[in-house]
Amino acid sequence: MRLAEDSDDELVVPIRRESDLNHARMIARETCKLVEIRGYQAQKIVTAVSELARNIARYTGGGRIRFRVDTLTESIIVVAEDDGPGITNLDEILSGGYRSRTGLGRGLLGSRELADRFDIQTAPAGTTVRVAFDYGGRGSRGSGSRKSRGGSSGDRDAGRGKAWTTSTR
Amino acid sequence: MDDINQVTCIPLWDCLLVPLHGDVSDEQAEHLVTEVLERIKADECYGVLVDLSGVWTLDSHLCSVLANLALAARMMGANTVLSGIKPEIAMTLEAMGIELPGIETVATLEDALGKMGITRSRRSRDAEDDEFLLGTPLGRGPREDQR
Ligand SMILES: Nc1ncnc2c1ncn2[C@@H]1O[C@H](COP(=O)(O)OP(=O)(O)O)[C@@H](O)[C@H]1O
Ligand SMILES: [Mg+2]
Repeated sequence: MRLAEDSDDELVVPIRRESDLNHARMIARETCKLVEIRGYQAQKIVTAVSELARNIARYTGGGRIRFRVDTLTESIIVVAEDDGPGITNLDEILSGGYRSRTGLGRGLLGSRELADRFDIQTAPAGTTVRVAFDYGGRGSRGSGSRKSRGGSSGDRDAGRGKAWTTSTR
Repeated sequence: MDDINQVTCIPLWDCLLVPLHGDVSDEQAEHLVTEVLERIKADECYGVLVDLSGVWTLDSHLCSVLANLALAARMMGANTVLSGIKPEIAMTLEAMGIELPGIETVATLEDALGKMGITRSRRSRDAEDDEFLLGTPLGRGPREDQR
């Protein structure tokens, strides 16, 4: 259930093990280049991809990362999906009360902080994390708040028409 | 172990300089830890300088690897200093709420060397106004006009 079904040119990187992460990060960098974003903006995307890909490699039997540039909303959309066991304690993780035994426990939360829009669906049949990063508004540096989560979502609702939510299926 | 996963460790007096660069793979990170800890054991170096100037991305995993390395090194009697984290990487980690507890982080490699007590004791060889060097045994010797 993707937002835009007009998947013209989508790039899919299969993730099975941690050695696939380099490939995922490389595609993330290439996607950034495609829309000419650099520096912090690009770093946010590559880092979030690294976190989501690692979760697939570490906690599931496998999955994939889909990359898409939505020229209409001027955003890079990354979907990390797997057929793993799902996340039973999602609320605890997203509230920041979770202490990871396998890592720093900031992968999902950190990705949510980095992304302009974040959505996660999880069930015993698998998990889908969707993050979007706006690349529009270049040239008007500093103007236009880029954070759309946590506070008011009026900006993105008005501009993008769709607001993603955090939910458990 | 593939060559691509090698990590370069450069002995620097009683310290170890480890420059990381590019897209650091998990294997490289793992190799870094074993290599550095072995060097500490063998060389009895007491300082580890990890320079991240050339690193493209730092995710939470690499951060925890570095934090664990620093902890293990400390238990073996060596201090670890990180240098050269790019501003955009620092901003990303900050936004994610990732901290590097127990690791000393400085801006430049020079600062890191300073932390290890390695400082420059003389100025550039070519500096004309380098009075300290003139006529001293450490200098280049007499200038042309004095020959
Ligand atoms: N795709 C996934 N499938 C199943 N469990 C997951 C997945 N992603 C994350 N998790 C679970 O959520 C926890 C938090 O993930 P994360 O925020 O990335 O922190 P960390 O990976 O450092 O533990 C993990 O410890 C793991 O138990
Ligand atoms: Mg993780």
